[in-house]
Amino acid sequence: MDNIPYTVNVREDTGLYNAKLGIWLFLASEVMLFGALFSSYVLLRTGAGASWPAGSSILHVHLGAFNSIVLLISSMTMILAWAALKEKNFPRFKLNLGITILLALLFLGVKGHEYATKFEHHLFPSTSTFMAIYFLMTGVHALHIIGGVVVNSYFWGPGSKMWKTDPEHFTNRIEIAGLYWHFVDLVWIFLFPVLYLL
Amino acid sequence: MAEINIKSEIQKYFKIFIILIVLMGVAVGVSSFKLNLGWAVSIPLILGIACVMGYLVSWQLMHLSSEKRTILVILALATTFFISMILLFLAAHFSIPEGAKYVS
Repeated sequence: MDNIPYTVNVREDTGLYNAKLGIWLFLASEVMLFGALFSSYVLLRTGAGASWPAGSSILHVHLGAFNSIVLLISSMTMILAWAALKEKNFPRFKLNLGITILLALLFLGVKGHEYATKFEHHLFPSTSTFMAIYFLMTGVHALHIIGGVVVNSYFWGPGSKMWKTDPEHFTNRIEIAGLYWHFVDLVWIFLFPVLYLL
Repeated sequence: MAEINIKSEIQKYFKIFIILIVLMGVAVGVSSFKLNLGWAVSIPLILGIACVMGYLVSWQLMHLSSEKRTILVILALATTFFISMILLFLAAHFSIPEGAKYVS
Protein backbone atom coordinates (compact mmCIF):
# COMPACT_ATOMS: atom_id res chain seq x y z
CA MET A 1 0.00 0.00 0.00
CA ASP A 2 1.34 3.43 -0.89
CA ASN A 3 2.09 5.84 1.91
CA ILE A 4 -0.26 8.75 2.46
CA PRO A 5 1.35 11.74 0.71
CA TYR A 6 2.02 15.21 2.13
CA THR A 7 2.38 14.21 5.79
CA VAL A 8 5.71 16.02 5.96
CA ASN A 9 6.18 17.90 2.69
CA VAL A 10 3.77 20.67 1.80
CA ARG A 11 1.42 20.49 -1.16
CA GLU A 12 2.19 22.98 -3.90
CA ASP A 13 -1.41 24.13 -4.27
CA THR A 14 -2.14 24.80 -0.56
CA GLY A 15 1.38 25.46 0.72
CA LEU A 16 0.51 23.25 3.71
CA TYR A 17 0.91 19.62 4.67
CA ASN A 18 -2.44 17.84 4.64
CA ALA A 19 -2.91 17.43 8.37
CA LYS A 20 -2.45 21.13 8.98
CA LEU A 21 -5.11 22.08 6.44
CA GLY A 22 -7.33 19.39 7.94
CA ILE A 23 -6.99 20.59 11.53
CA TRP A 24 -7.67 24.20 10.58
CA LEU A 25 -10.81 23.17 8.67
CA PHE A 26 -11.85 21.19 11.74
CA LEU A 27 -11.12 24.13 14.04
CA ALA A 28 -13.13 26.43 11.76
CA SER A 29 -16.09 24.07 12.19
CA GLU A 30 -15.47 24.17 15.94
CA VAL A 31 -15.58 27.99 15.85
CA MET A 32 -19.07 27.65 14.37
CA LEU A 33 -20.12 25.03 16.95
CA PHE A 34 -19.05 27.16 19.90
CA GLY A 35 -20.24 30.25 18.00
CA ALA A 36 -23.74 28.78 18.00
CA LEU A 37 -23.51 28.14 21.76
CA PHE A 38 -22.22 31.65 22.51
CA SER A 39 -24.95 33.12 20.27
CA SER A 40 -27.56 31.14 22.20
CA TYR A 41 -26.10 32.50 25.42
CA VAL A 42 -26.35 36.09 24.11
CA LEU A 43 -29.96 35.50 23.01
CA LEU A 44 -30.97 33.97 26.35
CA ARG A 45 -29.16 36.60 28.38
CA THR A 46 -30.51 39.63 26.51
CA GLY A 47 -33.98 38.08 26.57
CA ALA A 48 -33.87 37.51 30.32
CA GLY A 49 -32.96 41.12 31.08
CA ALA A 50 -32.38 41.96 34.74
CA SER A 51 -33.56 38.53 35.91
CA TRP A 52 -30.34 36.92 34.60
CA PRO A 53 -28.22 36.01 37.63
CA ALA A 54 -24.61 37.14 38.03
CA GLY A 55 -22.45 34.07 37.41
CA SER A 56 -20.30 34.91 40.43
CA SER A 57 -23.36 34.58 42.70
CA ILE A 58 -23.91 30.94 41.68
CA LEU A 59 -20.55 29.65 40.47
CA HIS A 60 -17.25 29.37 42.33
CA VAL A 61 -15.15 32.08 40.65
CA HIS A 62 -11.89 31.05 42.32
CA LEU A 63 -12.25 27.44 41.17
CA GLY A 64 -12.95 28.70 37.67
CA ALA A 65 -9.90 31.00 37.82
CA PHE A 66 -7.79 28.11 39.11
CA ASN A 67 -8.95 25.97 36.19
CA SER A 68 -8.14 28.81 33.79
CA ILE A 69 -4.57 28.94 35.08
CA VAL A 70 -4.33 25.13 34.84
CA LEU A 71 -5.36 25.28 31.17
CA LEU A 72 -2.99 28.18 30.42
CA ILE A 73 -0.08 26.23 31.95
CA SER A 74 -1.09 23.14 29.96
CA SER A 75 -1.06 25.23 26.76
CA MET A 76 2.45 26.33 27.67
CA THR A 77 3.67 22.76 28.33
CA MET A 78 2.03 21.61 25.08
CA ILE A 79 3.97 24.12 23.02
CA LEU A 80 7.14 23.26 24.96
CA ALA A 81 6.58 19.61 24.03
CA TRP A 82 6.48 20.58 20.36
CA ALA A 83 9.53 22.83 20.78
CA ALA A 84 11.41 19.94 22.44
CA LEU A 85 10.80 17.79 19.35
CA LYS A 86 12.06 20.60 17.14
CA GLU A 87 15.23 20.55 19.24
CA LYS A 88 15.29 16.73 18.97
CA ASN A 89 15.01 16.36 22.73
CA PHE A 90 12.64 13.39 23.10
CA PRO A 91 12.82 12.99 26.94
CA ARG A 92 11.86 16.64 27.39
CA PHE A 93 8.98 16.13 24.95
CA LYS A 94 7.72 13.20 27.04
CA LEU A 95 7.99 15.27 30.22
CA ASN A 96 6.11 18.27 28.82
CA LEU A 97 3.38 16.25 27.14
CA GLY A 98 3.00 14.16 30.31
CA ILE A 99 2.51 17.36 32.35
CA THR A 100 -0.03 18.57 29.77
CA ILE A 101 -2.05 15.37 30.21
CA LEU A 102 -1.90 15.57 34.01
CA LEU A 103 -3.01 19.21 33.96
CA ALA A 104 -5.91 18.29 31.70
CA LEU A 105 -6.94 15.57 34.16
CA LEU A 106 -6.65 18.09 36.99
CA PHE A 107 -8.93 20.45 35.06
CA LEU A 108 -11.48 17.67 34.62
CA GLY A 109 -11.22 16.77 38.30
CA VAL A 110 -11.92 20.34 39.38
CA LYS A 111 -14.78 20.59 36.89
CA GLY A 112 -16.20 17.32 38.21
CA HIS A 113 -15.98 18.70 41.76
CA GLU A 114 -17.82 21.85 40.63
CA TYR A 115 -20.56 19.75 39.02
CA ALA A 116 -20.87 17.56 42.13
CA THR A 117 -21.20 20.65 44.34
CA LYS A 118 -23.93 22.04 42.10
CA PHE A 119 -25.83 18.73 42.21
CA GLU A 120 -25.52 18.63 46.02
CA HIS A 121 -27.16 22.06 46.10
CA HIS A 122 -29.90 20.73 43.79
CA LEU A 123 -28.73 22.87 40.89
CA PHE A 124 -29.38 20.91 37.69
CA PRO A 125 -29.65 21.89 34.02
CA SER A 126 -33.42 21.92 34.49
CA THR A 127 -33.19 24.36 37.42
CA SER A 128 -32.86 27.55 35.37
CA THR A 129 -31.87 28.85 31.96
CA PHE A 130 -28.54 29.98 33.39
CA MET A 131 -27.76 26.52 34.78
CA ALA A 132 -28.87 24.91 31.49
CA ILE A 133 -26.48 27.01 29.40
CA TYR A 134 -23.73 26.64 32.03
CA PHE A 135 -23.89 22.83 31.99
CA LEU A 136 -24.24 22.73 28.20
CA MET A 137 -21.29 25.00 27.40
CA THR A 138 -18.92 23.68 30.06
CA GLY A 139 -20.01 20.10 29.32
CA VAL A 140 -19.25 20.42 25.58
CA HIS A 141 -15.93 22.02 26.50
CA ALA A 142 -15.12 19.20 28.95
CA LEU A 143 -15.83 16.65 26.18
CA HIS A 144 -13.24 18.45 24.07
CA ILE A 145 -10.77 18.24 26.96
CA ILE A 146 -11.41 14.48 27.22
CA GLY A 147 -10.80 14.17 23.46
CA GLY A 148 -7.53 16.05 23.84
CA VAL A 149 -6.46 13.80 26.73
CA VAL A 150 -7.12 10.68 24.62
CA VAL A 151 -5.13 12.01 21.65
CA ASN A 152 -2.26 13.36 23.76
CA SER A 153 -2.09 10.12 25.77
CA TYR A 154 -1.79 8.17 22.53
CA PHE A 155 1.08 10.39 21.37
CA TRP A 156 2.72 10.12 24.79
CA GLY A 157 2.38 6.32 24.83
CA PRO A 158 2.12 3.98 21.84
CA GLY A 159 2.05 6.73 19.21
CA SER A 160 5.46 8.02 20.27
CA LYS A 161 7.15 5.02 18.61
CA MET A 162 6.91 6.98 15.36
CA TRP A 163 9.66 9.29 16.65
CA LYS A 164 12.19 6.53 15.92
CA THR A 165 10.97 5.80 12.40
CA ASP A 166 9.70 9.17 11.12
CA PRO A 167 10.58 12.05 13.47
CA GLU A 168 9.42 14.85 11.14
CA HIS A 169 6.01 13.27 10.67
CA PHE A 170 5.72 12.77 14.44
CA THR A 171 6.67 16.41 15.09
CA ASN A 172 3.94 17.49 12.69
CA ARG A 173 1.43 15.29 14.51
CA ILE A 174 2.33 16.97 17.80
CA GLU A 175 1.96 20.38 16.17
CA ILE A 176 -1.54 19.40 15.06
CA ALA A 177 -2.44 18.06 18.52
CA GLY A 178 -1.06 21.31 19.95
CA LEU A 179 -3.23 23.45 17.70
CA TYR A 180 -6.29 21.55 18.91
CA TRP A 181 -5.20 21.93 22.54
CA HIS A 182 -4.64 25.70 22.18
CA PHE A 183 -8.10 25.98 20.65
CA VAL A 184 -9.63 24.23 23.67
CA ASP A 185 -7.75 26.73 25.86
CA LEU A 186 -9.00 29.58 23.66
CA VAL A 187 -12.63 28.52 24.12
CA TRP A 188 -12.17 28.46 27.91
CA ILE A 189 -10.63 31.96 27.79
CA PHE A 190 -14.04 33.19 26.59
CA LEU A 191 -16.21 30.71 28.53
CA PHE A 192 -14.76 31.62 31.90
CA PRO A 193 -15.51 35.38 31.88
CA VAL A 194 -18.87 34.93 30.15
CA LEU A 195 -20.18 32.37 32.64
CA TYR A 196 -18.29 33.14 35.85
CA LEU A 197 -17.46 36.83 35.81
CA LEU A 198 -20.30 38.64 34.03
CA MET B 1 4.87 28.12 8.92
CA ALA B 2 8.25 29.60 8.13
CA GLU B 3 11.44 28.22 9.73
CA ILE B 4 11.83 29.62 13.22
CA ASN B 5 14.50 30.00 15.89
CA ILE B 6 13.19 27.72 18.64
CA LYS B 7 15.24 29.25 21.49
CA SER B 8 13.89 32.75 20.89
CA GLU B 9 10.40 31.34 20.31
CA ILE B 10 10.46 29.62 23.70
CA GLN B 11 11.42 32.91 25.38
CA LYS B 12 8.53 34.57 23.56
CA TYR B 13 6.12 31.84 24.72
CA PHE B 14 7.14 32.40 28.34
CA LYS B 15 6.53 36.16 28.01
CA ILE B 16 3.11 35.51 26.49
CA PHE B 17 2.30 33.05 29.26
CA ILE B 18 3.12 35.68 31.92
CA ILE B 19 0.97 38.27 30.12
CA LEU B 20 -1.92 35.75 29.92
CA ILE B 21 -1.73 35.01 33.65
CA VAL B 22 -1.64 38.74 34.50
CA LEU B 23 -4.61 39.46 32.22
CA MET B 24 -6.55 36.59 33.79
CA GLY B 25 -5.80 38.06 37.23
CA VAL B 26 -7.00 41.51 36.12
CA ALA B 27 -10.25 40.07 34.74
CA VAL B 28 -10.94 38.18 37.97
CA GLY B 29 -9.96 41.26 39.99
CA VAL B 30 -12.35 43.52 38.07
CA SER B 31 -15.16 41.05 38.70
CA SER B 32 -14.34 39.94 42.26
CA PHE B 33 -13.26 43.08 44.02
CA LYS B 34 -16.26 45.13 42.94
CA LEU B 35 -14.26 48.09 41.69
CA ASN B 36 -17.49 50.10 41.41
CA LEU B 37 -16.99 50.30 37.68
CA GLY B 38 -20.58 49.35 36.89
CA TRP B 39 -21.65 46.81 34.29
CA ALA B 40 -21.37 49.37 31.48
CA VAL B 41 -17.61 49.51 32.07
CA SER B 42 -16.81 46.10 33.54
CA ILE B 43 -18.53 44.02 30.80
CA PRO B 44 -16.59 45.64 27.90
CA LEU B 45 -13.43 45.60 30.03
CA ILE B 46 -13.67 41.88 30.90
CA LEU B 47 -14.66 40.92 27.34
CA GLY B 48 -11.87 43.14 26.00
CA ILE B 49 -9.34 41.34 28.21
CA ALA B 50 -10.69 37.99 26.94
CA CYS B 51 -10.27 39.22 23.33
CA VAL B 52 -6.65 40.27 23.99
CA MET B 53 -5.97 36.85 25.57
CA GLY B 54 -7.65 35.14 22.62
CA TYR B 55 -5.52 37.16 20.23
CA LEU B 56 -2.31 36.18 22.05
CA VAL B 57 -3.20 32.48 22.07
CA SER B 58 -4.34 32.33 18.45
CA TRP B 59 -1.83 34.72 16.91
CA GLN B 60 1.26 33.70 18.86
CA LEU B 61 0.83 30.22 20.40
CA MET B 62 -1.10 28.86 17.41
CA HIS B 63 1.27 30.68 15.05
CA LEU B 64 -1.49 32.34 13.04
CA SER B 65 0.79 35.35 12.62
CA SER B 66 3.04 33.34 10.31
CA GLU B 67 0.43 31.01 8.83
CA LYS B 68 -0.63 30.74 5.19
CA ARG B 69 -3.30 33.02 3.77
CA THR B 70 -5.53 29.99 3.06
CA ILE B 71 -5.91 29.32 6.77
CA LEU B 72 -6.63 32.96 7.59
CA VAL B 73 -9.36 32.99 4.93
CA ILE B 74 -10.93 29.78 6.33
CA LEU B 75 -10.95 31.23 9.84
CA ALA B 76 -12.21 34.62 8.66
CA LEU B 77 -15.21 32.89 7.05
CA ALA B 78 -15.98 30.93 10.24
CA THR B 79 -15.56 34.00 12.43
CA THR B 80 -17.77 36.09 10.16
CA PHE B 81 -20.46 33.41 10.47
CA PHE B 82 -20.11 33.46 14.26
CA ILE B 83 -20.24 37.26 14.59
CA SER B 84 -23.15 37.47 12.14
CA MET B 85 -25.09 35.00 14.26
CA ILE B 86 -24.57 37.05 17.42
CA LEU B 87 -25.50 40.29 15.61
CA LEU B 88 -28.58 38.60 14.15
CA PHE B 89 -29.70 37.51 17.62
CA LEU B 90 -29.07 40.97 19.03
CA ALA B 91 -30.89 42.62 16.14
CA ALA B 92 -33.85 40.27 16.67
CA HIS B 93 -33.90 41.08 20.38
CA PHE B 94 -33.76 44.84 19.98
CA SER B 95 -36.41 44.83 17.25
CA ILE B 96 -39.04 43.45 19.63
CA PRO B 97 -41.76 46.13 19.99
CA GLU B 98 -41.78 48.01 23.26
CA GLY B 99 -44.13 46.40 25.77
CA ALA B 100 -43.97 42.95 24.19
CA LYS B 101 -43.22 40.12 26.62
CA TYR B 102 -41.69 36.69 26.26
CA VAL B 103 -44.24 33.94 26.73
CA SER B 104 -42.95 30.92 28.61
